[in-house]
Amino acid sequence: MKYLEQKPGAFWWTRNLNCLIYFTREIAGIMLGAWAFIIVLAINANFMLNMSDHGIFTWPTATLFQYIALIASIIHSITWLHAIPKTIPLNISKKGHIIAYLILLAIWISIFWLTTSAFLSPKSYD
Amino acid sequence: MRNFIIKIQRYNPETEKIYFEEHTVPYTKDLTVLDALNFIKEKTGGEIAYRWACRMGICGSCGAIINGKPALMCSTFCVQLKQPITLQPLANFKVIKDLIVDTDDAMNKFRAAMPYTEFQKKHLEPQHETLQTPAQLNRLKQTSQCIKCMLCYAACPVYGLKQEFIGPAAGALAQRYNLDTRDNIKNQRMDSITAENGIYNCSFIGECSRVCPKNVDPAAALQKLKVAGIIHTAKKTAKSILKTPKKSS
Amino acid sequence: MEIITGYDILIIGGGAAGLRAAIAAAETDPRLKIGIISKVYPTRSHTVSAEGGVAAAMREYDSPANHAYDTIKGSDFLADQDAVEYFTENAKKQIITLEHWGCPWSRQKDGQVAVRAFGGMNVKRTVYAADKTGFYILHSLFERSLLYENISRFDEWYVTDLFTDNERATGFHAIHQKNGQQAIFLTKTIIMATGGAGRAYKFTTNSALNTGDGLILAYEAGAALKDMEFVQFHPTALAKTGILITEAARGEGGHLLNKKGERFLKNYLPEKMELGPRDIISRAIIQEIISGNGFEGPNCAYVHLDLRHLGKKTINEKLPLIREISIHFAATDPVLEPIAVRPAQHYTMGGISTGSDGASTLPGLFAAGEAACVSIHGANRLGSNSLAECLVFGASAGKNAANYCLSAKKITIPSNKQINLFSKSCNNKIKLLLSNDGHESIASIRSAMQENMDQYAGIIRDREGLKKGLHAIKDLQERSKRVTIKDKSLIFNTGLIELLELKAMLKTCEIILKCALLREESRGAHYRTDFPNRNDQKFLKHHLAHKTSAGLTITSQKVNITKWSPEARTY
Repeated sequence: MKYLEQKPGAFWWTRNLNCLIYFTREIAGIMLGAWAFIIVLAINANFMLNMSDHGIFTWPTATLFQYIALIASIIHSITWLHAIPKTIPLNISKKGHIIAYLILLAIWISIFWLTTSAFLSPKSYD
Repeated sequence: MRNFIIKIQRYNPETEKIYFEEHTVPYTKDLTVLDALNFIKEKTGGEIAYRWACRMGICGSCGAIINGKPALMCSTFCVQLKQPITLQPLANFKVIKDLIVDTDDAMNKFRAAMPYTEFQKKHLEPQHETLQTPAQLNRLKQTSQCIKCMLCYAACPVYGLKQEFIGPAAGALAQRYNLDTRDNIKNQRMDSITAENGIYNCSFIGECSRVCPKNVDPAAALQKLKVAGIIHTAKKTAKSILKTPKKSS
Repeated sequence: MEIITGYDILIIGGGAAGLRAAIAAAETDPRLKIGIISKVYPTRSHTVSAEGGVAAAMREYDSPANHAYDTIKGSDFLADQDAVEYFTENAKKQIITLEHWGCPWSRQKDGQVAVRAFGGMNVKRTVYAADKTGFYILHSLFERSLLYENISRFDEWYVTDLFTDNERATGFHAIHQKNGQQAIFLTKTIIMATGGAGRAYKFTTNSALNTGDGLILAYEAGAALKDMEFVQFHPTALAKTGILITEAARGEGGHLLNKKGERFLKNYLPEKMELGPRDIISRAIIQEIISGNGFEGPNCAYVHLDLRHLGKKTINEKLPLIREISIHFAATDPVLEPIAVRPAQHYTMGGISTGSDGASTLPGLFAAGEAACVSIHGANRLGSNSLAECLVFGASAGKNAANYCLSAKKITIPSNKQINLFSKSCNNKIKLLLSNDGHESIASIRSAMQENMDQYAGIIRDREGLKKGLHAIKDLQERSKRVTIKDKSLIFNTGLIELLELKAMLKTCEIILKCALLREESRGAHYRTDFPNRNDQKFLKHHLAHKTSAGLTITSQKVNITKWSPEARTY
């Protein structure tokens, strides 16, 4: 007599959309962490060597890497903002959670827009 | 009228054979999966094993994986499901027979949530109730709806990969008592659930809240507990530092 | 076969009464070892479906004597008045205790536990927790029971036979469903808390679990069953599925309407209307349907329960579960449309005969809850008295069983020879059932039994019908001996368990019909067209059914009357 074991397989996160989003969230977090680590290494290395001499610190690798890190940080922020309303010790209905999330998203988008537009606006160096 | 086709996963613990059986059930608009299963059981001489009791979605006996998603069989209508309807036992648990799984381990997790208001065992026959306003009662309304159906444990990948995890329902139950104004043992409960196999193992995948038939939202309860847990541990640490006598210089 | 010993009290059944008894016994002395044996996980017990509330004299305008009078009148004066007095004296205490244990009773604005009106009660005294009172009580008790180290649980064990030696209940034989293991349990006392036998009827509010197992276990062991002919029919169950729509819907102001849209109860209960007792309202609905004033549905005739005038806020606050049930199972939103309802079997007033201390006629065997008959409900139970009964008499049985264990000078232990004999006979019985060769199916016998009971032992009975019913049941009992069970393993052998449950139900039906035939009067829920009036001269007594060498024997027991002499029962 034996009971039948059931364990989730290695690809359990492909089960449905919610799990895929979760997995993407976690991967984005890992990528951001990797980015921060490499930047630390790069900053550290720059104190001793000239960065532009090293292939991996230049186009296209470095730029691609920065764009991937940017996408990862957007994903990470969006999904993290989704989690925040769930941590507040208040009785919020399902609709309330969605509204809180949208408000947080709006605040985040505005901050994001303000900071990036500040960088994008041309400056004259005359 | 078209009939329903139902595929049921069978498992025999003696022969260790696992296989699927297909059955046809005559169509009625309000046929639940449980009704269909009862029909099939009668027609085939009664061997398919499954649990059920109340047939009104309150006892939590009839959980199963229906078309890939954990659900209560008595509350799911065949018309709303894609055909053929596939019935499998709840995931993450050992299958004893057919659709019956061993939930003993998960049921024991409730002990870790310390689901009582005090440690005092002998009740002192109080004269009056403790007063509690409707607003205070409302705080615990959502988490108190849990029928212990174990669908959340079947959905939780963390529980599937690590059986020691306290799990969503136990977390929701702990939150329900934490929010109750009559509770006296919040600190001990927090110690219990923030321990090694406790709430911090939750990765907030959110599957539990998606499948919960009673809208308990155990995922939210667990996240709130995590924050409360941090505050609790910080307070405890601060207290113990302040209490430690200062070393003489 | 394994012999499990060391337990002082073993409780069969894990519902409100069983859990309450376990906690009461555990509190009495931490040295006592208590076990709860249930054929399902405790939170699946039928208590979970109870909706309406728990009655007690909570307020200044009320008193236990007042509650007692309502209960006794509701029982059509068949209740034992000393037991009712004990019951009403102790109900409030149980509610307050449960409150301290965390049960989320609904509240008034000032923080006190709220009360609502209920059928047959002349003042508001029903404490409630939204409309899921049973659910909250069961889960509160279950969670509280986890606190006591001396309470062990045996979940999903099915008890097949009680073991008696020298005429005392000393243990039982049970099968562990999970692994097919059989065991003999030996103990000092047993508390039977297995609920009623509603599944003997086709149209019932009861869950699949209510199959009268404990009643027949006690009967076969020699304990007496009391007042078995009294079966309650709840007026408002969903027309097709039989799912309960709580009396609280009427308590909050709901109306019952016939085909013409009129509140027909004005012809039957002009004063109380929808707040009358269940037996009278159920009969009224059936009379309306018979006289052609009911709606004709695809499955059955029905009447309307109208809650629209209560408003969305009240319904969501006080009746959320029935709104959910109505929408989900009957595609009807009570805020917008009336619900189709009709009477369904709901409660078994009869049961194992006990006193207020929970002791049955078999020494060592106690009983509490729906499985017991003290009797406080007599011929008809008032709504919200059953949950109160589980708490009061569960606590009483638990405490008294504990005291029995602690104070009994010497409790005889069965000899090895007796144990072996019992063990062999139980094992042989199972082997025989599994090796039966016949072509009967459990489902068809069960179906026939249920239709039979609905037709002949339902709301309206008569001698011819009861005789036909009894004959049919006897026939079905013969047929049940020729059922083949294909599955030979004992691991979750649902066929075997269903057969054992079926046999228990058939025996229960036989006892109900025999007692109903003997009671040649109409009282409470037992209504006979050939004897439509109450006959206090001949029938102000209980019927006791026991097993003797001559088989099923029915004797009488007089009703205990203390303060209230029987009077005409009008509302």
